[in-house]
Amino acid sequence: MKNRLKELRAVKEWSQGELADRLDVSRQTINAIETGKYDPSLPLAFKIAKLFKQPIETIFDENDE
Amino acid sequence: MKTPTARQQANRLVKLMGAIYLLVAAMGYLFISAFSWSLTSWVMVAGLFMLLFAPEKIDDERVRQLKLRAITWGYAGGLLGLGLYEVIGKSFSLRNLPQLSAFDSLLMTTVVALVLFHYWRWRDGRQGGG
Repeated sequence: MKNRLKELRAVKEWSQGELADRLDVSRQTINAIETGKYDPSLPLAFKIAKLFKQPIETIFDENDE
Repeated sequence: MKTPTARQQANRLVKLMGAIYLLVAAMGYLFISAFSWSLTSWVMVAGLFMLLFAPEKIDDERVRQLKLRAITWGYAGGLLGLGLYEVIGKSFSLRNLPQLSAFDSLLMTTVVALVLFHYWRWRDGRQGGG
């Protein structure tokens, strides 16, 4: 699943570590989500959406094209 | 920097104990005659179990997923390998092939699971994907 996590993080000027701290996950997990190796669970996706104050659908795109 | 919680400190202690168990097993086997391989493998398995099953510093959903996958592959693959070892030994009547105990089996499968888990974690952390 594609996502805009890296882009949103860049806007806030947060490092992966800082974002990981805010979401209470590890830096490796953030990197795995950004590189498409891992799709977060629904609770984590909602947490991300809440943190960036955007709807989930604008952050995560289920179409892989 | 966050202060570790009591639970995180306890988990860290369990991992440290696991590492100590491994060290004691290795030193005992090398330098103490009373340390048979049977005892050594028992102590090593106990240490490896502590390292594998104690929660990580940040035990998030991805860590748990990777750990479960590593345990699955480690134990399935390890048991398959051990089965082949037994079959090959019997098929070719290899009398000199050492017999593997249950602790030897656990040792190998747990090592495989640990290696897989840490490799996959490292790969997760690599920038640029791949």
